[in-house]
Amino acid sequence: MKKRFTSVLSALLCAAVALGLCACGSGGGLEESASALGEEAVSSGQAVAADGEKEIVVAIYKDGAMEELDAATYNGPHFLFKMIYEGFVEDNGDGTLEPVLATQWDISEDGKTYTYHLREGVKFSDGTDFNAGAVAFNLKRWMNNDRFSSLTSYAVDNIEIIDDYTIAVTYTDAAYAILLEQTYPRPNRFLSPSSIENDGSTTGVFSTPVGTGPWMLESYVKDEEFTLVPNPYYWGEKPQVDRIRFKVITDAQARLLALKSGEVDIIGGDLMGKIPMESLNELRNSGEFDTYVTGTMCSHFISFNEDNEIFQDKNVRQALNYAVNKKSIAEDLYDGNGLEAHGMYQDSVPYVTSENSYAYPYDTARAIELLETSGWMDSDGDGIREKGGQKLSFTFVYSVDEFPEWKSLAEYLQAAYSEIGVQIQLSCLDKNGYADATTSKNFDICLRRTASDSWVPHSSLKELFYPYADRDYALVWTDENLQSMINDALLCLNEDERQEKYDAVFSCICEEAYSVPVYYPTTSFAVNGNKVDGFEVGVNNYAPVAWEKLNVK
Amino acid sequence: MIKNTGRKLLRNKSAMFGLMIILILLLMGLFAGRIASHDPTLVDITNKLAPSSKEYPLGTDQMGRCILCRLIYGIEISMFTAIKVTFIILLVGVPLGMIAGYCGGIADNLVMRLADIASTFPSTLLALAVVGIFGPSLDHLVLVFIFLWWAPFARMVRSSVIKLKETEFVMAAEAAGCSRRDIIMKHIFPNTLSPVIVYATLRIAAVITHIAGFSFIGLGSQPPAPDWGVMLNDGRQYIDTHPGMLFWPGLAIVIVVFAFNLFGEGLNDALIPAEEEMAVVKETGDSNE
Repeated sequence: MKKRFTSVLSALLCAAVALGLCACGSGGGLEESASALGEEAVSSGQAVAADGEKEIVVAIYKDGAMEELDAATYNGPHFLFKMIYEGFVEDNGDGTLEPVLATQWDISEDGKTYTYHLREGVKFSDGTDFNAGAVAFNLKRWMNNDRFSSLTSYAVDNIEIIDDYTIAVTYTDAAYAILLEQTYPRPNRFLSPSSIENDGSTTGVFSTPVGTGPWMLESYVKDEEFTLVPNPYYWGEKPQVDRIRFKVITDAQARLLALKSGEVDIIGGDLMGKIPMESLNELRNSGEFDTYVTGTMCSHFISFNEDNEIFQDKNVRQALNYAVNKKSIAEDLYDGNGLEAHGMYQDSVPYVTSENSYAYPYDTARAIELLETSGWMDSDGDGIREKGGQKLSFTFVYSVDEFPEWKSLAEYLQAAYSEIGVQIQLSCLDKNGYADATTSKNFDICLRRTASDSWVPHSSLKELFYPYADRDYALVWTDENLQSMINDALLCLNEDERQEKYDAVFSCICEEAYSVPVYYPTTSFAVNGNKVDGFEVGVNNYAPVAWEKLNVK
Repeated sequence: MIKNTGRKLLRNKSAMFGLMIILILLLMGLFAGRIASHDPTLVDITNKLAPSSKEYPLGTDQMGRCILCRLIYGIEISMFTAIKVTFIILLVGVPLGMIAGYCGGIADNLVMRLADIASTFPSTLLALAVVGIFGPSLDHLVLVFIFLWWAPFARMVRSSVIKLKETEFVMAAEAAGCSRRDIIMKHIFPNTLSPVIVYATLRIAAVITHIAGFSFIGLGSQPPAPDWGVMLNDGRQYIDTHPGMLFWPGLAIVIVVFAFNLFGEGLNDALIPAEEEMAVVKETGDSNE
């Protein structure tokens, strides 16, 4: 009898374990929920700390990487750069530029020399002065480094310090986007030279993030949390709250639970940690939290591995485009929380028009026809096409860390492709594995996103279609003809001519079917309205929240 | 003796109940294609998260697939795989235990040291390592289970064989000039089976939970396979809105594990005399890890 009892007990335990597992995520989820339980008691008491400090807790999907949040690198979450550091100018979200550390600028006739007049009286958060010397120091840390060659402003011929608050930079190429690039979260931002060990040497080692921005780092526990507090020396409008606490919660569902339990006050944001699409409508309908949904300028697309012979055949690439029902993805799969994809870039992206950038209509018959023209037949009746003994079967690499909705997207695409006789083997990797696989061509097809906001289209095109850093191939497709067309467009200072050149670029990408655009995402936030006051969605993906306006009720 | 055991087992209501469930599920799994009216991997996104209806008794999942059909096809992945794995484990473990026990000496030493090695690996860690190196797949997991879990069977068989070797009927058979093969096959092997069968039945339940667990965290079966663990993982986003997506696969796992445990315990009562019961547990060590 005793043994029977234990067997019943073990069955019940199995059920409990299964349910317990459900509550937390895959991978690191276990630890998180454990720590979430442990900290709940503490954090609820912290809502307004004992001494009346106003603190807001925000969930973030990955570590803040504060030890690498170097203005002159590509490490760490984008949006933190915009909180801690500033550049010459800032993007207003409507295409106009706002003077920040440069109050005005002059551009020479040939479009190569930019003279920046710096804001006076600005201090870094460590109390040191911001001046032309600091600007030159920062520029020298990354300029002319191939790692940043997706920027047109990376190639610099000369830097001249005219006086303490005036600096002239002569760029190698007179690209039209040089000023736009000054709005990027990185590397065009300025950190305090004193935060580089071996003070004064541009090759020194980065120690801690110190910028002129409204926020500064207060505390940091790797992979757990970090806090930002207002920079006491900030020259502009001061933030309203005394502290923003960012909690690292990798799993999307766990972030949602953290919001519901009151552990965090704000979740969402493309680069902060998306709200799962499945939960968004439910959140919106429940009315328990304030929800905000806005469009983005980003697009998600499938990219091919050009080293795979099969993809050298344009028919196959086009067939994979025809096989995807973009409308159904936006409307049915995502319940309208996304837009139907057309071309590789959204129509709201500068220079993109409905003529130069278009979608392949959903037409499985046409897809099958194209595959059969290329000799891909299902001769053995297993539902998978083959040619010369090789099966039309691909490994599909994706990750659900940044975009939880990629899970259902990947499974949907798998089903869509099986209808035209293409077998897809899904390979869901964690964010690091995904980054490795997708940059080292360790996949057949993979899901990617474009950059957004002021990065599109010029920097994004360079990032995706040019080889750079230590790679001799482009991330999406290496086509020298396309590269020269992109370059022509970048170096064209005449607006009308530039449009024509961009027409050629986008038409080429569509015509050659170098990618399969699948949907245009929206970005969303859920906010605990009982506590947070003054929440406003930021101007773009890289400034997801208007942090300075946040307050505690 | 067999008659006696059968009668004992038949009288054990809970064991019979477990056996009944197992048989029903086996039949359902075998005839999945006939019972289930939908393709378990057929995506129909316009029909996602449908409530239960005549066509979809348990509703549909986030991709518009019939949950009941997926559960039925899942029997093949969960139960059949577990039974196959356990069978292979027996094929490896029992002969090795037999050799070790009967031959003794170097062979015994070798087999038992290998068994020691296999038992020192925590199965979860090794599975994580293998999946990390070779990529997530049900086949890789299954290999890990086979690699590790033959050891308790070999130990169990070995100790029975050593005991049996000293019994009078074996010595009598030896004295009568029976061949080694006959002694092993006719006299020793049948007498080692009882604890092995009991333990194997319980082991099937353990394999099922392990497969489901690893599939749940994305390291076992890969989508769109209708694995119960994969279904649990799919459902976790919908724990608030569509709890059925979690509940049904969870229930399926509980029922199967429960059935195998009930049946295993019943077999234990029927096959093994009370005084030997402790010995089995002692030889096999911790039964679930």
